[in-house]
Amino acid sequence: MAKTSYRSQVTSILLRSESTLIFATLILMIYFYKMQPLFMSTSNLQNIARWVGTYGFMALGEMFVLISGGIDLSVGSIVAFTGLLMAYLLSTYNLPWVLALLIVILVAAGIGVFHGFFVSKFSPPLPQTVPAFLVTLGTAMAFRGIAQYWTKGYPIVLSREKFVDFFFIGEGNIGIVPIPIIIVLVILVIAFLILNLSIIGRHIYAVGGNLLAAIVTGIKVNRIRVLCYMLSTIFSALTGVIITARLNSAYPGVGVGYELEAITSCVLGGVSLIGGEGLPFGVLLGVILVVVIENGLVTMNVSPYLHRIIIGLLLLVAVTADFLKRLRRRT
Amino acid sequence: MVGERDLLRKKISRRKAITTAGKIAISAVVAGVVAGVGGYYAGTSAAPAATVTKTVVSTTTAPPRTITKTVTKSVAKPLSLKIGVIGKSVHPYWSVVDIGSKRAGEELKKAGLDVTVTFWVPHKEDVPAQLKTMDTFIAEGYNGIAVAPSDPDAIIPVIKKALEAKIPVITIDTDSPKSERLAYLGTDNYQAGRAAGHAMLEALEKMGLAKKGGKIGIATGSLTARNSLERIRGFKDVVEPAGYVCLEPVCDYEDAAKALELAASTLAANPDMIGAFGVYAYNGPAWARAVKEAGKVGKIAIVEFDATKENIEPIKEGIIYATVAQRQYFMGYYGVKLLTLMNQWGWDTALKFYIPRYPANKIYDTGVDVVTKENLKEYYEEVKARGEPVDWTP
Repeated sequence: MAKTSYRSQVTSILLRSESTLIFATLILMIYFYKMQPLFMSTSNLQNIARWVGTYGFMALGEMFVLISGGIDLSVGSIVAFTGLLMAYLLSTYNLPWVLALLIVILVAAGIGVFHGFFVSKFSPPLPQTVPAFLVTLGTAMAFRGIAQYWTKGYPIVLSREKFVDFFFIGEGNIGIVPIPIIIVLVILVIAFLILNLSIIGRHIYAVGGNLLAAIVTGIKVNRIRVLCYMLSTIFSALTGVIITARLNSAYPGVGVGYELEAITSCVLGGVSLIGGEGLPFGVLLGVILVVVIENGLVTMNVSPYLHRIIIGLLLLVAVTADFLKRLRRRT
Repeated sequence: MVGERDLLRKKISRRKAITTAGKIAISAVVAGVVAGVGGYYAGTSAAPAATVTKTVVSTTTAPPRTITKTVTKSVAKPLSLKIGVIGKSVHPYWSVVDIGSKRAGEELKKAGLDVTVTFWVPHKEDVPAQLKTMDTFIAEGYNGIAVAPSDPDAIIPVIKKALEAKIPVITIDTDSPKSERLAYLGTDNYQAGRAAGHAMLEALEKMGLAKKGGKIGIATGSLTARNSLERIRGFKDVVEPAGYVCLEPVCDYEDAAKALELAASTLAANPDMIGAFGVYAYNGPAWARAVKEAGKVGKIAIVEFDATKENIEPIKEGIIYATVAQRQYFMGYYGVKLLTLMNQWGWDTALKFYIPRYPANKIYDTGVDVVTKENLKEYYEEVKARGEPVDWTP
């Protein structure tokens, strides 16, 4: 198969789904603004930006795995575990926060390698969705368990006097722009460079798009998979660390269900659930849409019973759109 | 995982108990006297003039009164009791219940009763795991079970099964009113919510924020859990007649990060808010953070639940006005003591002794403490004296 035409085809389809997404988000924002003008207040927009930043990392991580044809269900647990690890390293060993962050990233990378290794070993060279599902679900449970057992449910609280520098990455602003959104934009550029301008990226699309073809072409499929799972856990760890910095403490109960939020954002952003498609920019738009809806419902004082119905319907719409898109392409 | 460790420990201690069964039989004379009335009661109600010499603890189906048989008629046999306490999840809240139950066990031991208390929790709320543990306790012939059902309806058949096996069952923390449980020991969450409401009125008054039609935000971690709904209902029943308006509650599904996001969004959308109520332990601190960041300290009265370090710090700083602290220690403590007493005296006698108006009323409200900056020190001394883990200072 000709790779260039494949890629341009992907890009053209996605460009279309991205413009729809921007359009939908804008319409919603105008609607929320009309209903509640304070939706567009600086403090609320900051609020939205901060949470887009926080959740953006894990969604971008999940994107790599989804594009490579896998799935990572450990996101939420990794967020909780790495957040705790960060707080633990800081409070117990008094490490400089940059060093602690590096250790957390290394540990997260280790977990990712573990995922990638098992997914590859359990299923060469067949479609690997079921094992990926199980392996990451297994680690998800294990790390949630570790988080709970380790802390007995208590949060690890960090003192403001000592760690105010570290807190800055979660709660600080440059001008009026929250730090997390700035970091996530940097990560977005990096993700774009890896995925769309490097050979590795082309291989990731190939592995997810057509596994057998990728093997035949001589792509080191397993290495690519390991890399994707590694990026996913590293990015989830960034979300965990940012949340710890934001809350000034780490809670073992944080992050339940974040994997679904990440997957929803990805699918909304045009990532195909069977792999081979998706762009970082789209994923970020997906995150923005989800956060805008969640925030808008709160600012409009909508009954909380309706929130989950709306988010659930959104996921269904996204999955249906993904399905229709594939169907149309096949015919 | 904690549960497994506890089970293991309990198994070891049980094995030890069996090997020392002989010694127990010898010390029966001494211990029997110490056990006093209860032992006497048990002795007389047991099989008359029994000739069986071995004490068997592990018979599962009969109630303890009939299996612990006296060596001779005149000497009462001490009770050897296994009491199981089942919590909901690994959480600081439940470690306090654990300490309360263990403390009750120690005190009973000092009084000469051989009581072994097993505390078990799943690592997160897990209905099947709770049912399984109940089954295990029944099969192992426990003499009493105190359970905090994560699902009050799912637990009904197991409670029935235990009662049929003559094992007394009470609920703690969360009731299962439709079951045949003998009693419920716990916070009346509606009353606790009302207490929070009164604290809110007091706060608004004292901070000079009282104003008809003022908005109050509510944040919770669950829209289905009874405790959350009852607290909100109790709270609204106090503040709404006083002329305040409650916003739709926001729900974070027990995620502290989401809780902060929602608190900040609520504040941004309601600049005229004058009060905030946090239903779950981390909701109060989340309100405090959001209020502080919005620069509105002193302009919003916050009332919260529970008394961990995170809850107390903002009270000390004067950001949160009051917290409503549950007395979960006493759920474990009285739970174990009540179950022991039921074995000693017979179920009805013990229940009538403990619970006012039993059997018309089967609920024992352990009550709440409303803690503010003023009474923080007293509260600290009290909690400390009970041996609860306290990670804060007044």
